Amino acid sequence: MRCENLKIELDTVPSLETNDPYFAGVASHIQTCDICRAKLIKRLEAERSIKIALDTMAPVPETLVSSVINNTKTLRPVKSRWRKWSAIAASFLLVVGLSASSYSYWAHLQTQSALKRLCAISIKNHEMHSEPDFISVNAEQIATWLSKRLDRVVRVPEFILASSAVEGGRRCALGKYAAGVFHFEIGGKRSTLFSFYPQQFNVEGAVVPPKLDMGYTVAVWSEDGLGYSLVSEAPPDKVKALFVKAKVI
Amino acid sequence: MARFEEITIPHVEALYKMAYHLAGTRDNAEDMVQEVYLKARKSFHTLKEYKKCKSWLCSILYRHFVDEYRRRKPYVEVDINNIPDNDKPEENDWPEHFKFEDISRSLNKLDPKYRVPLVAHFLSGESYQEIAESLDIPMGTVMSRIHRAKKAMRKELASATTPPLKIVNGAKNEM
Repeated sequence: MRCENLKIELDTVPSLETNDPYFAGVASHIQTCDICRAKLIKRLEAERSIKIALDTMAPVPETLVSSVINNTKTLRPVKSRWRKWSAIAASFLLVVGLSASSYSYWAHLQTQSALKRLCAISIKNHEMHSEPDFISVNAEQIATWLSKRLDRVVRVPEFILASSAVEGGRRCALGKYAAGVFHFEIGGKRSTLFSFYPQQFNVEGAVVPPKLDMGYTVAVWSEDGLGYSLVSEAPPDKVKALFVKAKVI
Repeated sequence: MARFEEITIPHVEALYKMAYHLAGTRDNAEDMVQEVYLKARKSFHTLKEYKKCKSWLCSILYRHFVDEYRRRKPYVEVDINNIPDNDKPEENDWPEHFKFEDISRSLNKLDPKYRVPLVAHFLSGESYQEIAESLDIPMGTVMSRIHRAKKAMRKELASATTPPLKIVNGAKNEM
């Protein structure tokens, strides 16, 4: 290769013994070209002197390091805006998620507690009052009588219509609130159905399918905006069958 | 904070020397180093590999210098593009004798586009590839700019009118 073609490489090759593949052409050229080799040696020597000269020409001020440290100490590190906003968004989502799940769990516990209490006071009322105040085998008549006594609408639930063994009704105090009561039988077993507003007992939308509780079959559900709790001495499977027939749950 | 100091402070001196030869005066060099460290402090979280800290600081220094230069333009430039690529001896060989201040003067006359890679080559200890990465330009361009800068510097040194000093291994010997 001709010397002229290697002008830039000869002027920039960092040392005689370089093994950088970029300078492979120069390395092989100076093996055969004494002129270029001599020039290169001279250049490297001159540049080494220049490097030393440049290095010694700029003595570092004694106070530089301490002043740099002092200046940078007063500065708070700036994190990237993306990191900052993503951290805020992630924190927000975490708080919202935790709050939502905490609230949901708390509401679930409250409803379960309210249902348990409603079942307990319904059973207690069933045990204490076995006789109706208004005796009738007509569920519509009982509903009309209860509506007048309670001064609000009491509807005949589908469940009572399916049982076809109505005995009468009465007005009662269920916890702190007045409720309408239907007395009827399921398979010859005494049963009591309480009618109330579900929000009074914090059981809106909650359902307890027929289950055994304190020796009675109990159930809770809502129908057309009214809440019902059932206490029956009939076994759960018979109550379930009636539920299916009346399409309650 | 301690981590930042631990990683970056060891490079203050090298950075100052480069800043001095880029800026041309001690005060400007000191200001530049302070600015570079403030910028580095702000963006320290972007430094992924601590072993590349010096290159990272150098790249901040180069960018800062070029920005400042564009803003102030205090230097007399040598139009390197008009230097013909011929074989005049004074452009291809370093003169036998030159003074310290002539080196500084010839460096300061270079356009920053050529001065930055040349100072980086002489003082940073970085390879051509590392300089190319710091300046975000191809390695071939770095070498070409260094070659042209050296030619301009050699020409400037050869035409220097001040009484010469011979430089032997960094020591000044009056002739």
